[in-house]
Amino acid sequence: MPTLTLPILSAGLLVDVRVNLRAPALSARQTAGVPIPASVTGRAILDTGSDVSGISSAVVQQLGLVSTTSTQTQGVGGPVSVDLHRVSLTVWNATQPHLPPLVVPDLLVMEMAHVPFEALIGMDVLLECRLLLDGPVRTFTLEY
Amino acid sequence: MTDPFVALVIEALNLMHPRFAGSHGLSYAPEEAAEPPAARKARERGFVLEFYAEFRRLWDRAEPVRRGLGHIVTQGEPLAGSRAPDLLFWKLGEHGAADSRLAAVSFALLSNPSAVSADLALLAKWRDAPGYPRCVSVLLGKLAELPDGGAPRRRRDECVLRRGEVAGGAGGTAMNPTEHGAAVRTPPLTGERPMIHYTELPACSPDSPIATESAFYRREVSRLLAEGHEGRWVLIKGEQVIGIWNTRAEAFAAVDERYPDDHVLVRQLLEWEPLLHLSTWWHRAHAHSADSQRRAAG
Repeated sequence: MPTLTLPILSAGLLVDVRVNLRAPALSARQTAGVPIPASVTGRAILDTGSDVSGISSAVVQQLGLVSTTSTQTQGVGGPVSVDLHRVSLTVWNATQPHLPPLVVPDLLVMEMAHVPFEALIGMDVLLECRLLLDGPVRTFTLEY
Repeated sequence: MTDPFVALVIEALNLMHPRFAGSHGLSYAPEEAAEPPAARKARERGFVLEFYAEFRRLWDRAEPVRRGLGHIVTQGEPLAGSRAPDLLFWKLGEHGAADSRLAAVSFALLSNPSAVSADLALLAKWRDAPGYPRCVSVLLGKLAELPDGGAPRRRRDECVLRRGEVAGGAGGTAMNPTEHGAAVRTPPLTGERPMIHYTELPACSPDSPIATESAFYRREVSRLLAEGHEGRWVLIKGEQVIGIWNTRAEAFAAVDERYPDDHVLVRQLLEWEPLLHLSTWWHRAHAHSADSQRRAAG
């Protein structure tokens, strides 16, 4: 089972990610001979307090993502509707690019403005993995 | 699937304003319990009037027709005596056919247990003769007032609305867990995340690229559920239902094939929708953006 072991930083549990259009859209473009956009690379924070993964507004604009569905959450003033986009997400280790990455080919994500990272990995992805937190050693391991 | 008439009753209950529903008092003093059951159906009256007002709005919107119940009216029963369920619904005959009995509905406070029992007995009798195929007992009160073992029932197949249960289906209208005692929506007790009834789905932001689709979905979800599509996945583009599929993968495949680069809305048709937990990062950003919009507007 591939694993990524990384340090726990003061900013939280951070991993390297690549984000692009959902896999079916990439395949369709490839078949049609349409150029495929370059993946957006950056950092993602692991957040067990979120049911849904997210990406920054900058990534949404860079990839020109369309909204495909919506869900709802409890806001301060009551339920709030949230648009969701479809992307492909790859979790990898930029310092060890030879390690097999975790690839989620078609993932629903929310858009997040004003965040200091490119993506947020929520329970929708984490529930497919094993996450081991070694507090005293200040490391975490993601097995997938 | 919930019976379409029961679904209508639930929808009307859900639309009721608790203040109006409780305007005539919602409990009986112990000394009143000694009076005959028929004489004690007084404090329910305000609730019944408010229920009828909301129910009437639904049929002004042609909801009964859309749900396959036809044109319905409330009217008296020519073949029975004075003691009758609170509301009797008839289906108007079309193309020369005679009117037919549709449903009998009674309302009683849980603090009026003799009336509850009397109503249940009456509904059971009226189902057999003169013959109302749907008999619904609406019980009003607080959860704490529910007797051990749940709401009283006469027979296994009687339609009694109670917490987390609707005759013939799961979920629905329930006893009020608050102090005020009017009927309210209560989600099924799943032990999972909080749920929201489809009638309470929030409006999408007007800035959203799928604002039109979301507004259309909120308008149509009631009809689609009534048509039996609960659990299936609907694809909406503009104000048009493009298709309905059994799985999300099938709906997304249709999006990939027909609208790969367009904003569309795919939703699972659910009576009760989960309220997802989102990251505090999202909530912070949402609050920041709402604050900016308020400042710009003011």
